[in-house]
Amino acid sequence: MREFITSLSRSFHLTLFTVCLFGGLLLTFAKDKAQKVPGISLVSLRDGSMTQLDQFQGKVVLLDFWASWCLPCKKTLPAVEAIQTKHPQLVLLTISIDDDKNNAQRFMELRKLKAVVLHDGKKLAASTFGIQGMPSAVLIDSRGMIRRRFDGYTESMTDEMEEEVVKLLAEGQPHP
Amino acid sequence: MRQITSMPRTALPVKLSVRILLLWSCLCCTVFSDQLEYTLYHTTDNAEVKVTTSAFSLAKTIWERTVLLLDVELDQVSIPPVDGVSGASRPQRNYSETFEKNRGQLMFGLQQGIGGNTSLSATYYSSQEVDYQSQSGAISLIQELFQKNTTLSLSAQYSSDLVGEIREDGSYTDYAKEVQKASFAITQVLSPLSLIRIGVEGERDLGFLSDPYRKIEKHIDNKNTILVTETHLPERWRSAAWIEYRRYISGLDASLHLNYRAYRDDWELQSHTVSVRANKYITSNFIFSPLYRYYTQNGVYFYKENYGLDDAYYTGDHKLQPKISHSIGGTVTFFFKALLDQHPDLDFLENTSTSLGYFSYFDSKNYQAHIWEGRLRYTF
Amino acid sequence: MNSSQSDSFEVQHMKTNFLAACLTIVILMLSACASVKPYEREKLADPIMDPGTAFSKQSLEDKFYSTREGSMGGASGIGGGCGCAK
Repeated sequence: MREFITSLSRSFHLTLFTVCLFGGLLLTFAKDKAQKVPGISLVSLRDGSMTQLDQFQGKVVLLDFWASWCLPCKKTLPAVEAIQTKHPQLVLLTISIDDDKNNAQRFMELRKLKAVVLHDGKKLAASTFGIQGMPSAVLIDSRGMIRRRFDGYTESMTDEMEEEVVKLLAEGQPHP
Repeated sequence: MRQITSMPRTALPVKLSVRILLLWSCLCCTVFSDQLEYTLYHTTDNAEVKVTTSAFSLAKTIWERTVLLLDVELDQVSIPPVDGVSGASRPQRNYSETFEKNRGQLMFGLQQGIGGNTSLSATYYSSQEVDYQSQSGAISLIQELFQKNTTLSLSAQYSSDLVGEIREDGSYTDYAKEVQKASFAITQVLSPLSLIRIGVEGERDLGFLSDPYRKIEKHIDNKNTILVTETHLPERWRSAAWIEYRRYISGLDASLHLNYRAYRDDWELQSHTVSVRANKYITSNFIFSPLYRYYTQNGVYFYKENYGLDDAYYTGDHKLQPKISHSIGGTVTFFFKALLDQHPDLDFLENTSTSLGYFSYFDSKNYQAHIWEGRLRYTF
Repeated sequence: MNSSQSDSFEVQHMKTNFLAACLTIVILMLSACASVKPYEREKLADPIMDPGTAFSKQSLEDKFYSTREGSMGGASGIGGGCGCAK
């Protein structure tokens, strides 16, 4: 009996290790397929107007998902606004996922946000875009295809984001 | 058994465990934002022992995912000349006078994030007082899994201490002690409103584990006694397991934290701790948090009311005796963002909070203490 | 090492193995029931769910208890909360 339990325990560990190893490899090498931006409508927190996320065909769009309860989001918002200021052709849509839009409104006013602020209280856009972390940003090219996702915040990530924006903006320019 | 001297009834292992706890509490955190904090503690008890602690801590991102951790703390301890009860210890020298001493401690460390889900911390700690020195090093690994729904934390620590004794003639003796400690904890998010934490900790204490100041009587026969210094075993294996459940109660704007801990060691001390804490928003910027805690322990196997000459180990440490204790109190927390509506120019206070807490502690040994805690926290 | 000591060690070893396996199963079961997305953590990030958010000194309560009681432990563990990526 004792040998049986010991061997069972060993087999269990071995199986678990194998599953984790191959699962990890699969996740590591799985690549995001480019997806079309979904046609979701969100309300603007500034004027209550509706914005369709797929209405910006022909333009490079950066979606920045944030929440008033997300501390690193306080760093990403000024960073993406700075990118947009440097590259005015870029369309920047910031999307608050706060349950209560009053919290988002208050945060927006306190932070003196200049960008477009949309509210996704039902998490429709967040779930459709498959947000993997907070804060999170999604970069969409001029053909309306999702080209890059950024989860979290570091200074180098902001630089990387700007490089990618520049690249996509260049792609969208008509060839001479 | 009767304690002879005017010594406080607290052993040096207490001081050691305080140090370990402080380092442990700093180490076992991961940093999601930069933070500056000042805390003031004040404790008084029914033996008129007073302990005041000022603590300053900083967590600052210095490069990408590298965070500097700094903690400076100063304790001021005052022990009256009569029988005292405290977390401090004092020499027999000048025992008829109030004994006052300061203790300084410094902790610094680095936390390095590796990718988005892993972080490593290394921490060094040093503490100095007139009759105690301590140095510790600790490392910690935190791994987040399944979209950060599961967090594993693994920590290990080594401490090397010098327990000092100031003798009546003013001479000084050092005794060595070391501590090895490890812990493993899992935090699991169960739903958008609840989570559970489970942890185990193990510790091995080696060397001089007694209090050089504490004297007890040993009975030679029915009439005569001799005075001896407390003597504990030179090694102690300790382990604890704990579980905590936290639940957000949406309809009430409140949360409930339930905690249970079981402890045992090879000195055959066992304990059980149950605590309940509630947190309730009184307004959107004001939280009231009441707490109740119940604790029970048996005594170590060598604890006796009366010791004889045949006893190899003997203790006067109240911490090693059977007891039950209760703690009841509460904290109020205020967020300065409440002021921003009327004073928008104070926007730098958006993430600042202050809290004030009071706890009353009493146990079955007729000990009673009052604990005050004030805190100012700035997150940036 | 005599035979009874050897048996005892083996039993201990088996127990440890068994506990490790049980713990792993518990973790896997718990992770399976957790489907909380990063954007659903508003309440978990609330200060009342984690009053000692981030780097914070352990409360004096815990420091004080260790000067009065013979046990230790329970101060470690981190996670939950915002779950924000850094």
